[in-house]
Amino acid sequence: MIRVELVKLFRRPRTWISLVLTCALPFIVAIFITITHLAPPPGQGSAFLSAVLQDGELYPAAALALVLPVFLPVAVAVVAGDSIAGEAAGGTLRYLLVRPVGRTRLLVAKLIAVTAYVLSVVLAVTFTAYATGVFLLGPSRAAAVGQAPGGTGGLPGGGPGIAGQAPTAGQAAGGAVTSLSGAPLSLLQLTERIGGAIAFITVSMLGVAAIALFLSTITDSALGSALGALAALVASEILVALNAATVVQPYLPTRYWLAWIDFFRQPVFWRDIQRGFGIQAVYVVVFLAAAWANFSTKDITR
Amino acid sequence: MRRWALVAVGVALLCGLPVIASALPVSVPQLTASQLRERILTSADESYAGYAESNATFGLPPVSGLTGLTALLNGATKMRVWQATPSRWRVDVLSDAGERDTYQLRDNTSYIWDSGNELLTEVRGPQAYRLPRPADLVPPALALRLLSEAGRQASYHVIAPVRVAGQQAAGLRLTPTDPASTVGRVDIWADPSSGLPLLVEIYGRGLGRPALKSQFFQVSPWHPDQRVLTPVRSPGTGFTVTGSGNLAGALSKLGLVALPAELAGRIRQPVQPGFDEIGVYGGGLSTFVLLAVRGPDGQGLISDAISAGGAPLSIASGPGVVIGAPLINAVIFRPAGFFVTFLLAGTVSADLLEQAATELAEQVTLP
Amino acid sequence: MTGAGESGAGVIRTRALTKRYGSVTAVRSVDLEVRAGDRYGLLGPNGSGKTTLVRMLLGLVYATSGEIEVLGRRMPRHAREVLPQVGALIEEPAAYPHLSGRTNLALLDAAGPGGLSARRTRKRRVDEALEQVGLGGVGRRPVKAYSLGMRQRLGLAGALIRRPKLLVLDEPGNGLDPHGIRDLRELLIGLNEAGVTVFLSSHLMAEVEQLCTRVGVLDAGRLVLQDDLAALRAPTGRVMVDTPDADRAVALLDGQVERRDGDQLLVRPVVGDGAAGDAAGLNARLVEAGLRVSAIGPHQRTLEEIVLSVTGTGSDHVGESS
Repeated sequence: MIRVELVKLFRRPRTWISLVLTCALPFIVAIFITITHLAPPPGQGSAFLSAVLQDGELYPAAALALVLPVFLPVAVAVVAGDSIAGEAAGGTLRYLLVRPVGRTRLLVAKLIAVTAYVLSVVLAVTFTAYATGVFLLGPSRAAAVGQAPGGTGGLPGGGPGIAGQAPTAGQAAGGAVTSLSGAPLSLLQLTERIGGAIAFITVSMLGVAAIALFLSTITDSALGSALGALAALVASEILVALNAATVVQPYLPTRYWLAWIDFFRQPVFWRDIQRGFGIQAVYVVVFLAAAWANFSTKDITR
Repeated sequence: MRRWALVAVGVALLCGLPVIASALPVSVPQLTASQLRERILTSADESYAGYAESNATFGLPPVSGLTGLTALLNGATKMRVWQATPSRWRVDVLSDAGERDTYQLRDNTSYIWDSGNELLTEVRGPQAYRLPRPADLVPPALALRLLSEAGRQASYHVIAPVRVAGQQAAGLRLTPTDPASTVGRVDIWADPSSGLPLLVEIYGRGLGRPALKSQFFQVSPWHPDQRVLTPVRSPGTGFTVTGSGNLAGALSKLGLVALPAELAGRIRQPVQPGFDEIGVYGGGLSTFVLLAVRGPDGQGLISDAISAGGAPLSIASGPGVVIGAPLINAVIFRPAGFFVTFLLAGTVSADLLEQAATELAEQVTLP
Repeated sequence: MTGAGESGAGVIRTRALTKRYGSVTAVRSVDLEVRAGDRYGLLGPNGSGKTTLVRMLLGLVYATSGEIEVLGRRMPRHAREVLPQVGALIEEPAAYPHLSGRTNLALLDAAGPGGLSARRTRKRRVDEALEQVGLGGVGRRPVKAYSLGMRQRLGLAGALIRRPKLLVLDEPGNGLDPHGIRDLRELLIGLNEAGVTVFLSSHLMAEVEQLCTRVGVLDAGRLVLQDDLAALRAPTGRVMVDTPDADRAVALLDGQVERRDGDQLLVRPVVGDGAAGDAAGLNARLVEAGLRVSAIGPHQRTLEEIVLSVTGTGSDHVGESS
């Protein structure tokens, strides 16, 4: 059943168009930055974007930050909102169910297919952005030698600290990327961190997917359920930004969306990441259960 | 319908879990106020790591040159903390897409990493009379400072324990005895066995909400790890060295005026050598500082403060302004005929500051 | 006319089956009985509850009350065991338009149970089903390029790919041209003779009359008639006479003419009046009297007459478009 859902998903032109469009956005941004050499000032604009001119390898992280707020949730809501409602509207739902496909099984298979979709979009964005970053923006460069008072005033008793690092600045060029905490990340560490971020972002989208899937079992309009899920997201984002709503914030699906950035701190800051995973799990369980309760007792009249 | 009921029960359980967890009874060993206070004071050498958030609503108007301070005292600050000893620690202030980390290596050396500018700054020199920094708001640092400042000029008693960061914490309340203090009370909750403060709340006089609340959300004893406490410079990032910033440096252009030994009945405290231009009066939780700013910058301070909501007033027939905030009051004025602007600020009532300002205008003479 | 298979074994059986949508009762206490080997035609105007009934049989719509048994097992509780042996076409056919007909069938089959053994025979079964419905040559074209009739055939192929014991077809003739309808009829009769029970619903009486062995009539949610077509259409004992000398015939057969419609007479011959009570005897008697007879034969009711006789006012549409 899962294989069938994956075939249906990936043999659909819409899937590929959305994938290409999502990858195109960071690419376009990179082209503009390369031409103008104008990265947003630090602390402004999208996360990591200010650093990509120095560290081209960091561009996957910047690209994820670009697609996360709008592109990704919209794509997920559309795919997940279409999952049951689209089949119902197209008439194929009844043929699946009399095959027979268990209704609960169908729901789970749909959620897994959506997860696979998110994962492939995120992976595609990461890989295209890595290529873009390395070829267009260039690999990470060391600061000009004159800029850093290499070794001067080295760390008293600091051991492997500044005193040890400064002389290696030149030869390390291209090998290391700076974490948010200032410490360099080796390529292996960077790969691990980006892997963690990919996993986190994928899971972050599951809450939206579950909401859209639930709405998809309520209405036969794929558009309606996608818009409903997006409305829920926008409401959540507004409340997350509202100081007066602090009480409910830990329970909002988008509260920990930005926590993937914590993978790029040194050491990794796990608190929000764990909570992000937890809250998504709760949303998936609740809305999948609601979808199950609704869908498994529903009369299929289309 | 039965399935919906099942889902409803599940949702209710999930939503109820945090409520149930927070409603669990809290019990801590019986300690007297002085025992608890002692325990907190001896916790200074604890090694710990954790995550804390401070939330301040001082309501200070933005003052040019002090934006970092006013941001710190007017909003939420998220901090990751690692402390080996009181002079070897690291505090990361987290923002959504970056961080600003302070590494204290020894008494006179610290490093500040700013991820936005990709710049590591070494700060050298003694740090007397510096401006408050985020590390001061971490619950243990804040509680220890408050307890040592308050000393005997406050009464202590035990309050109900609460649960903080998943731990049961014993409560201690200190109430300043000086009626002129703006501090109504300070509530500190600490781990009853180690004495490590976990939650600190400072209330302005007569206010129901804390003007400053600093709380651990996650904290545990920590075996110091040098790799965490030592800044590592990545290739391609900037590096500079500065002297230690202090209060005088932030305002700059201080005038040298002979400051009176007593104002409004408060004795001037001795200052460290080299800081003669700073006057510190009173003590404990009712202290105020006096600074003299020379030239047009001082005039700017007054107009800034008025446009930010301060109430204009006239002292010694010169222009002035009084700023009232929940915990800190300030009076800025320039006596007629002077080229020096005086700034008085502290945790004392505005009336007391105005009285001090009037006395100052009478006593001070140009050098 | 009865197909293969032992009659009497219930393939579909419902008891007091009722479905209410709010205050509207779509299906009202229906006792359906389809026996193995039947070609059962469920007749009724649009809106009479046919589709709701079919959907309840397949577990798509849940009954408000009553019981359903399909292939000897309760539905929808045993849907997992029952439905793999059932092929279904429900209202219009449906397929993923961007995929080919062949891929659609393969996906539909893969979605069902069966695991590895089903996978091994899949390609063969798909080919066979496409061949059966006459789509052998066009299976690789995307479905969005199919005509309405081709889609209907593809839907039928979908119902056949698991080689079902029971076919449940809701309006299978929709969208087919006369040629296609004939193909469908031949296919269904062939399958039925090979042991497949066919249950179809239609509002086209001619279609049902030509194909089915057993008929049920649904009117406003009630099953108002259910019987073997042969029994329904058994000779009535009356004789149809078509004669240009109708007036004289009426006079001759004094009292025996039940109805007159222009030159057509419906006669109930009296037996023992010196002649046998059948068409041949009546014919001899008319000819003897010098009357001309254009046509004569035993009287049988048409399905239309039967349906109209049992349905109420809601049956306006029955047969209209046949």
